[in-house]
Amino acid sequence: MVTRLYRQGLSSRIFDSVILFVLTIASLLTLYPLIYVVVLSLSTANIPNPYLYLWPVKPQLENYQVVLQFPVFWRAYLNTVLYSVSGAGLCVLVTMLTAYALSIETLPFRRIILFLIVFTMLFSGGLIPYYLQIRNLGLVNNPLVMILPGALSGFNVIIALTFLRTNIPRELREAARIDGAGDWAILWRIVFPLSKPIVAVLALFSGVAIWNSYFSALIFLSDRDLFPVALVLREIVVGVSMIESLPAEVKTQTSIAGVRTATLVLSVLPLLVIYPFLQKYFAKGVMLGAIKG
Amino acid sequence: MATISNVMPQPRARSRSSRLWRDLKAHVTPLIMLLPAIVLLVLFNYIPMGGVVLAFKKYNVTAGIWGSPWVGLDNFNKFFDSIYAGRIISNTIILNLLGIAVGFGVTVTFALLLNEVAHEGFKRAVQTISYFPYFVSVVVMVGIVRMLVSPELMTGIFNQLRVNLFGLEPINFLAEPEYFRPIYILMGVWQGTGFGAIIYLAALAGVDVEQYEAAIIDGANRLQLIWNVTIPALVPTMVILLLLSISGLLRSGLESILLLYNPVTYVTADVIETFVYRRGIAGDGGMRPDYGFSTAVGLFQSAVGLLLIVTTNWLAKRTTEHSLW
Repeated sequence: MVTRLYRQGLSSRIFDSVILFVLTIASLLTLYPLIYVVVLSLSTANIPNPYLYLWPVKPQLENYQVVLQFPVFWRAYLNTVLYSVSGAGLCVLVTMLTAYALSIETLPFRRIILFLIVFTMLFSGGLIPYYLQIRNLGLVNNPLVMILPGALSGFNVIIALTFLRTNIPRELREAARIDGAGDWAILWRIVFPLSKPIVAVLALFSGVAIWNSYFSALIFLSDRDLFPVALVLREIVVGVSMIESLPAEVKTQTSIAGVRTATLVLSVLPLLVIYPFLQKYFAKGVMLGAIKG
Repeated sequence: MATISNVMPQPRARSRSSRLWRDLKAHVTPLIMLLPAIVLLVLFNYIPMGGVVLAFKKYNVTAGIWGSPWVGLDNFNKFFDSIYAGRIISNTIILNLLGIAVGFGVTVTFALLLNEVAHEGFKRAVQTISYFPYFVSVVVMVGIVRMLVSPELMTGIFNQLRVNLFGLEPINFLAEPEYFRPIYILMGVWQGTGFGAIIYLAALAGVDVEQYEAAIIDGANRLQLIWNVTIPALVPTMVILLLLSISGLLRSGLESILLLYNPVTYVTADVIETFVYRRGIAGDGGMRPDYGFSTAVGLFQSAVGLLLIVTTNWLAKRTTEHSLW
């Protein structure tokens, strides 16, 4: 960093220390809600006037045992994984196909199609017409409703398109064409291998978005077997869940708060685990999106 | 008899339709590749857009969308005449403006601070921590928030502080309309700052080293460096992001508000989207969904949103050289 040049002076050093201090506090504050939840989930219930929760009070795992006993939870987890993985896959497929096709400058109607895609980012029919349309398509209470509508997003297409334009030189494609390759071959053998970063970004963003969303499930799914974790969580969070109406004998060391937080932690856990591996793709991806701006 | 015109191939007719046909034939594969996108667009975006006509009708279940009778601007009048219109529109705008202002300030400050850190390891650690909240689901977030602010002293840290440090009575923060906005904004800051900062940091990484050197030679101290070199370098990015935010002024964090609000806090918490949801799908306290009415409100939101983005983009073009298109 350039300010290396400037590090000698005392005022500069003070400046540095202040910044370090502020950022450390900020990071701790950012982490605190998560620490809070984890600690609570490991604590024993009903201790009067505890402070701040930085370490579990009488650590125990019963809260987790209770949650993990519930078949609703397992089913929801399976659903969420299925929705996210298939949704991400579909999104990547559709987006890359579309972006590749639109990157061909001589494509007839190219501008119109691009405009139509971008326009959906600016204006929409609104919730009700969308809801009615899903009903008309028979997608209500159908797992496909979780992955189909979101597969094509204008934003995704744009960043994919930008990526292709800047990273896959036309000469490469033309050389392949001269060698007799058709578009499918070009897409498969040239574009996809070179597009690993953007594919990772698309998969990550769409997968995470589906994992975390609950609204579509809320308005379209009535069959509890189809519920994603987020929806089950919602019930817990808003206080209408049956997980909380536990028989009294179970509630020795546990408490409603404990069970709640255990559920919350369990739903964040996969993200926590995957996050370190994926976060480098993530940073790259946002920057790719930023370049468009 | 062989003549030139017999031996040489005739030039094709250069009419527009045959050229178009040729283009189409040459691009069959890409056009096929576009089919999924087009189907999806039509099914999930453009047909619903057509459904907007519902805003001008009174929906009759048996008649369906097309059979229902026209009522012109009735739904809109009903909306704007009601007490709700003023409330939800102002809530939406206030929440968004506040969110933009606070979010913007915090994010830019954070990016600037982070940019000044020399130690790469520390910088990366802070960054990684900062955008983790973005991946946490809204439901989990609200779950945590609800516990943190609960009146139960067991879990409600804020109330613990109130009682133990200040000797006050615990309050149920989520049941007090005046606390809704701070809670919502803070949640937004927690989730969005790290993520937003990435873009600024990327822009900052591209700043010309020579500018810094020149300023240092001119005797600038650290703060002056930031003010005169770093921040101006961010202006283009800031403008674009600001534009994008303003264009979304009428939208809102539907998912998070839906989980955070309750009838007591509708006064400050109810926004256009939650209103549409309640009136159109969920049924507002036993009322039957009124599709025409809700569609009208939704159309209002979309139309104004479109107007906003076009206007702000035009404004940006006029005043600075940066704009969205």
